Amino acid sequence: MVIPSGMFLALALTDSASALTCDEVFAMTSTGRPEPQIVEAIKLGRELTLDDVTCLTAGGASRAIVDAAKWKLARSTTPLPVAPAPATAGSAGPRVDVEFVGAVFAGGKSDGTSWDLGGTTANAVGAAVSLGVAAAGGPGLARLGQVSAAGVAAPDPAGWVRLVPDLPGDRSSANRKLLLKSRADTYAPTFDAPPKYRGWVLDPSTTFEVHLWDDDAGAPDDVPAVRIGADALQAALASGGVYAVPVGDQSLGLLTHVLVQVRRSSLADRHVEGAPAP
Amino acid sequence: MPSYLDQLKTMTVVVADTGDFASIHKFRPRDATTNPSLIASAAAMPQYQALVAAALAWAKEESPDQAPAAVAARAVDRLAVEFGMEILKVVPGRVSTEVDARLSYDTAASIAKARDLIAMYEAAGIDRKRILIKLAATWEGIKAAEELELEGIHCNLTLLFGFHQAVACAEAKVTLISPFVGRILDWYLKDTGRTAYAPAEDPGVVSVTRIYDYYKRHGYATEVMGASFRNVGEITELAGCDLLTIAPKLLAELEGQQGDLPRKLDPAANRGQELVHLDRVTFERMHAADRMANEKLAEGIAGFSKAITDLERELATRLG
Repeated sequence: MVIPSGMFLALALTDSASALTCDEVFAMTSTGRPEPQIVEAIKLGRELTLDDVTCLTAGGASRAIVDAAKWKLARSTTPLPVAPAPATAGSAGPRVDVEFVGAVFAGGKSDGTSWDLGGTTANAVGAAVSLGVAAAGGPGLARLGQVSAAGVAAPDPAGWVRLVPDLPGDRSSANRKLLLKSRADTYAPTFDAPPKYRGWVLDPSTTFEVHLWDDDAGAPDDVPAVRIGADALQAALASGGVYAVPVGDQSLGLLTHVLVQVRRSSLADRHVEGAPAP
Repeated sequence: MPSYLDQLKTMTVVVADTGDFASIHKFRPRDATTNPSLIASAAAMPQYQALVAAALAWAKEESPDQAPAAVAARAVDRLAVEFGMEILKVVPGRVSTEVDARLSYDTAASIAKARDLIAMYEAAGIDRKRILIKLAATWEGIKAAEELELEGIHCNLTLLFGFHQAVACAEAKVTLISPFVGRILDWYLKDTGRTAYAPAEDPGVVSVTRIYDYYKRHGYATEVMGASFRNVGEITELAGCDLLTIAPKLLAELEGQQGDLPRKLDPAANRGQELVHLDRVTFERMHAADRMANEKLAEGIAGFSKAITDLERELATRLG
């Protein structure tokens, strides 16, 4: 039918007007629109949802279209659909062990260009998939395996994690260097010696800072540091597995998730494990 | 009592929708439009074989070492211009010449083809002001028109079915749009199972009226030329529209009918909806949401593309 004025205005005047949905993409493909135009429209729009990406994949959209949608998803600043259990201000929380497992980079830099020249995405996809399989309890992790961007060269991630604020005199808690399983060309870096904060009391003030970057020799691409607060840690604890904390809104979309696992601790005293910063 | 056609001409610019300039001469329209299907039909008529031969000769001379298929492709472009030049001998105004519909989703290629067509006209001493380059109202076609207008190449955006296409065309400052009336009706008849609509409720008429009112309310200079009519009722219901392009058969019916023909579209009515702005993605979303526009635009492009391909094949056989 002809689009009613009200619907037209609603679509034309709201922010959501510039986000293509799965159904709209299929409407474009159904009438023979050339694939490059569809891909371009997807990339020009706002972020797609996980449901849209899943719908496109299940509906048999072409590889290029699905990849464009995943690329858009990877750049999303919209939190994954989780319902974290908020910490109650002023209350003493459970004693937990916090382990930083890895992170997921977006499919490209904020200007739309790839992180690096050359390289492949195969290891990025593989790493993300393996993370999803190893941590089935993490919300959204099964879908993180979809995060890829064909034809876009992956970054060479490096960085550190620290407790905020640093604990006075506790050198081992500060500026921990991430030791990556795959140092180069990966969107989903993991750690050889993950920073572990064991026996920590999880209260509303508990905050960690993660700072990663693309460690190109001579010209590193910085990514804004992101903070993981008590709400996200509570959600991770409730998830029972590796939890993907959405951080795109703090990192200009360059880093989409930090992967963290939080378990109840049997330790009475807190301490920090993992490779110290050099 | 003057005929409907004579009355219509007092409030609307009447345009002949045909490649047959004998018909154009008969009804004395100000402008004329062609499309690939009309050119292909006219090219099959015995009286126009001299034009076809001229186009082939021109193409062979321009591309002496090319394969027949390539020469035929150039001949099709030239044939559109040959028809346009003949039509301009008959009408006092403008003629619309269409860019290859197969380029409808390629902005750069559409611009190049439009420049090529204009160059052919200008080489023949015809001012570009008398030419409207027809482009399908895809996003890519509209962007091509936006750039061409900056070069003084005026454009007629065709295969326009949805309001979003009209909004984008106005924002691109194109000279003229051709919203289709009859093809919209066709779609609704098929989709709803109805056998007829009253002229005032005809979905094609409603669509053009909405576009016209919107343009006038917001002061857009883009002209609205209703096109693709199925019956006289659709035409009379749009009396007052900037232009209407009408096939010879319906022009003859209008000429044969008498009675009062009231004006239906009025620039002073101030009935248009609120101003909106469309970016690329919003345009695509609107297009996807408008099932009729989505299907009819694709169908129109496919149809015109097929007409060109068939004509190329026909001309290639003549080249041996």
